[in-house]
Amino acid sequence: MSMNPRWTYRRDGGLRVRMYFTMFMLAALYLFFITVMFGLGVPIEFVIVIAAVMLGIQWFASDKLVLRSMNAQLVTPEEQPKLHAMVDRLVERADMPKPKVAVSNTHVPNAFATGRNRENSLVCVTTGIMQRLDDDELEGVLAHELTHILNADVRVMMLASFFATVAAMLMNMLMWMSLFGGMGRHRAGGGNFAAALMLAYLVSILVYFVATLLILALSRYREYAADHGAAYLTGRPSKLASALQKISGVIARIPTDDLRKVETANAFFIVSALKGESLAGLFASHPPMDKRVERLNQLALELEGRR
Amino acid sequence: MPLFGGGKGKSADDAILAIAVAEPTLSGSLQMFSTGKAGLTYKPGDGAAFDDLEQELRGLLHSGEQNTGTRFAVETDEYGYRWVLLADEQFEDLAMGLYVVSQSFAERGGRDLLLAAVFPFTFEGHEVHWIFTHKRGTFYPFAPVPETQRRDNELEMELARKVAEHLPVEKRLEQWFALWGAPFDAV
Repeated sequence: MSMNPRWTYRRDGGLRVRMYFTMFMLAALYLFFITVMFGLGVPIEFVIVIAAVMLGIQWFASDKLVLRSMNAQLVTPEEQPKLHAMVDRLVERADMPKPKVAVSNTHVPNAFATGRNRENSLVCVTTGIMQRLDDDELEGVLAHELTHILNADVRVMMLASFFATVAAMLMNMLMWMSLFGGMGRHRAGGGNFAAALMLAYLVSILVYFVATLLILALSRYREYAADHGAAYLTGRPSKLASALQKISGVIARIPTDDLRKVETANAFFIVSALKGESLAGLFASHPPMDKRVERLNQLALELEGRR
Repeated sequence: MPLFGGGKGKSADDAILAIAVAEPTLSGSLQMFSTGKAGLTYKPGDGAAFDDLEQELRGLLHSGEQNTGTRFAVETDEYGYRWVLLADEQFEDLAMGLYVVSQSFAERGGRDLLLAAVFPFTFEGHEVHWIFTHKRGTFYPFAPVPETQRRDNELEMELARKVAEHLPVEKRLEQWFALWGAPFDAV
């Protein structure tokens, strides 16, 4: 049974409309940005080339970069038979190539997917999330991550943030240029040049700011879409809902470590081991948990009604 | 910490008795039942003073067995922590027994060796341990899922809410550390 790659949006028209509207706004914003920069005589081609090189590196090394930064390791089916079996089942149902599977050894409950395309993708879970969730909940989380791969979300977000990166680089560059430009008064037409620089600087800030807001909105829509996809892939939205509740908010503060281990460790590291870690930063690009849970519960009702 | 030196004073240790007071409510309206066992775990010290302390403990445990019929066992776990395990159908005897044990630690200056007291309960077919830590003087729930290394955090939250009126529950969830494999089978 083959599935349309964009199936997760087809099922939720409103979400799709909002998402495409956001993408359109981003494109319009970037067009405006490039036009203004050309008009002001800023050498934007140069900046675009640098940003493209940066993007290219990300593009081809994203999985390795992520593995490195999350201190994660690829695992074989022998090392993690249950995890691999779950991924196997899900990719078969979604009719997609199997991504690499990795585990990050941290008690912070989290999971993520990355990779430039379906053939070069990676899904990673932390040991913390495996300890906290039961099998059905973990399956829901994996289905969510696999839907990100299906929907090419890494690619979409990378493209969406390309010009925001350009704007951010220009902001930096122009700030330095206007500092030096201000000192070099001997230059012909220095006043106009400085004014143009200042204007370009302000526009860059504005573009960067608005683009970031749009990108975050886009990211939230993709999260909803991935929740949606996971719900249909597993047929059990309520499991993902309970997984989300477990790994966020209050319950995530309960440690998974053994008291005796912590006591022993604390003899050497007095404060650190007892401090909780905050997930707030990681969730900034995600919709509020209660809204996601509410939507999943609605989906659960819909699925029930169809049976 | 006694302010005026030396004496035992009213310390956080006394808070352990709160569970004896709360138990009728737990087994009554909350339907949480003691398994008839309890345990206390501490880090073994070294030196003659500590040997004396353990000697005294054995004496206490033996007299408890004669007076109230409280059976006991002493075990060492894989972390190197020692466990004093009690079995008694009378819940007050369990709580009182562990209180007396922790008092003799306090009297001999061994308070810092005490790690926790554990009271296993059952609730709607689930295993729930109420863990008392001597350092903080509070209780928190620990609900291990059988045959896994997972705990049922939802159930723990629910139970903590339920008993909050009756027990001093640890408010900082970051302190709710697990205690896997308490050797209750030894008693």
